[in-house]
Amino acid sequence: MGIESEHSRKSFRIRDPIHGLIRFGGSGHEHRDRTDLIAWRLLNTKEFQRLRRIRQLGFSDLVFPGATHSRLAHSIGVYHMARRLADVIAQRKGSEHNEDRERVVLLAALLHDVGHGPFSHVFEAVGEAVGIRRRHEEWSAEIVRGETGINKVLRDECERLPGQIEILLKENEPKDIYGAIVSSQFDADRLDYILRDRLMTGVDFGHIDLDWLLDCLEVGTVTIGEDKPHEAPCLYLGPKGVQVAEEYLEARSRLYRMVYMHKTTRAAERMLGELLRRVAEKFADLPFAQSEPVARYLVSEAPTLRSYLALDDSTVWAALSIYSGCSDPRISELATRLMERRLYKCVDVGTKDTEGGNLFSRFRLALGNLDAASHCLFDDATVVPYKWYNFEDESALNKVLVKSQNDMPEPEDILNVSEIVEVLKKERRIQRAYVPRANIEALRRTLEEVK
Amino acid sequence: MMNAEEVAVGLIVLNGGKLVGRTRIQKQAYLLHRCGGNFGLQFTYHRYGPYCFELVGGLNDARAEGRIEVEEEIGRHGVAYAIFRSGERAGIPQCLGDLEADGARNLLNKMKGISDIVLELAATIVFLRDEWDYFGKDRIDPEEETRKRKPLKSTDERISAARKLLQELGLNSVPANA
Repeated sequence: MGIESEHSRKSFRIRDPIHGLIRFGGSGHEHRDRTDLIAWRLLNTKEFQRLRRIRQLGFSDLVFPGATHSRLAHSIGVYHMARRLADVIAQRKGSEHNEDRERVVLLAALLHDVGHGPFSHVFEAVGEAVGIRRRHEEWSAEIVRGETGINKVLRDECERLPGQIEILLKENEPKDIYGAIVSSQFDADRLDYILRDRLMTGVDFGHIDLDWLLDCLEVGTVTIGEDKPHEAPCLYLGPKGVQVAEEYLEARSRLYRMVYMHKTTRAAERMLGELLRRVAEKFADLPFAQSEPVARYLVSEAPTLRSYLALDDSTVWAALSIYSGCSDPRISELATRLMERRLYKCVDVGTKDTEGGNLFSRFRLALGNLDAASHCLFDDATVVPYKWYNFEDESALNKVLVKSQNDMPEPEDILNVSEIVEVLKKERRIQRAYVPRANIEALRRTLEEVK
Repeated sequence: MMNAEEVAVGLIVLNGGKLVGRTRIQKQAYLLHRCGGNFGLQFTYHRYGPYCFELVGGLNDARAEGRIEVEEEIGRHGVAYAIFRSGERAGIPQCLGDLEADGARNLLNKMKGISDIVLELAATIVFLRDEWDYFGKDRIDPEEETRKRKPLKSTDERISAARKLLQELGLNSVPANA
């Protein structure tokens, strides 16, 4: 994907396994083509190319070998989805469509993941545990604002563009209908990752009729606010879109349960988390920490953008190779196990409550005196496939809004019309323990005893 | 340091045995933690301000052990929300972290009648000011940063109410560059 000849060509093309041919430029629409050209230049910056070395699903390929797709491929897909959503908005709004705002939103969609680190959520959690209180959203905003190739491309187009995108990346709520493209139930990110993760993992559920869904999307307003009711712009689905919205929410729910929360993937994540925490603790004062990028970042009091951008999945795997020869037996064991895929085994405690109280709490207490549990790692997570939001504030814009009848004055929560979604609003809790295979029977026995 | 279950139960009991909404319990926990509770829980930046995953686990554990009851009610527009009530086995807390029970109750009384959104804004301002590491912290005050991140919720009226609450709680919002 060279840019040297971009001025002599009308468009650039990428083949994508989900969306087919993604074309940058050549639409015949001057404003959109110009945005596409900026996007193409952004793709070719070193900060964006780093995403090529970060897998979208982290350790999921340990379970689903096909799931090796990168955050770069996903980001390009998100840009494509954002354009399709922008087309829907443009069509519905007609002459009121704001092309400048569209440009900011499309480029923000492309850049939304640029601040992700390796094994994103594990790495962030370890960072927070050792005092680095910064998430990928903060890094993304800084990459857009700071001295980077991405900032230069954006400033070359317009001085204000980096600031406009930075704000959008930081916003926790969609400010207008264009904001819904990057942050809502049907935002471009979710639409792409559901389709992409499904295909790349090879799971045979979760089909979404994307064309139908987009065709049923409408632009409207919904009344929010208890004290001072006011109308807020929103995307909603018309009467023929209720079923596809159910498919969409079901697909997400099943991906969470069967892919993202998979016990083996979570075991590897817990092991890496434990390993990195120990590295930060043990290596803080050693000269070694200054020469190896992962340790250098974790022990740094004030990590810089440069030290962060030096990290990707490949630096973590390279570090694991070094750590496997480390004199600390725990670090060495975990690194070697991850490299050889000799992962800890899972005891799924479930969420059963007993007369003596919560089973997981009692199980953990009982493990306190057990030698076999000395290296035990725990997992306690809650997943809510469809979260409740009220209409009291702007969080209402995170609902899936539908009009089940054309003559309804305004859209309502899909919960009101769908029994399927009623099931999806229930919290699902995951409570597990992970230990080396040799210790698994001891843990199972303990679990039986406390049941 | 206090475990999350004790914080969860204590908050509900000291609220008079009833607390409505998951957001509210999270924000109250954070503000009380900062008012001297020092719960030892880890709060992180979340879409709705500071959020503690351990507290969610604490609520689940307390429910499983019969120390609290959780009801889901249907509100306006048919949307469910959670009502937390203290259960038979809740007990009466003598303290909440490092706060005496009476002191914690007084602080919670100051939050009565304050909307969830104002609590969220107040908690976010303090969190951004003192804990979260955002770029530009040296030149952008936390109130301005909160407005940026929550442009629709941050009306002048609500920000002003959040500021007033922080003053009453002794957590005055001081711009980082002041």
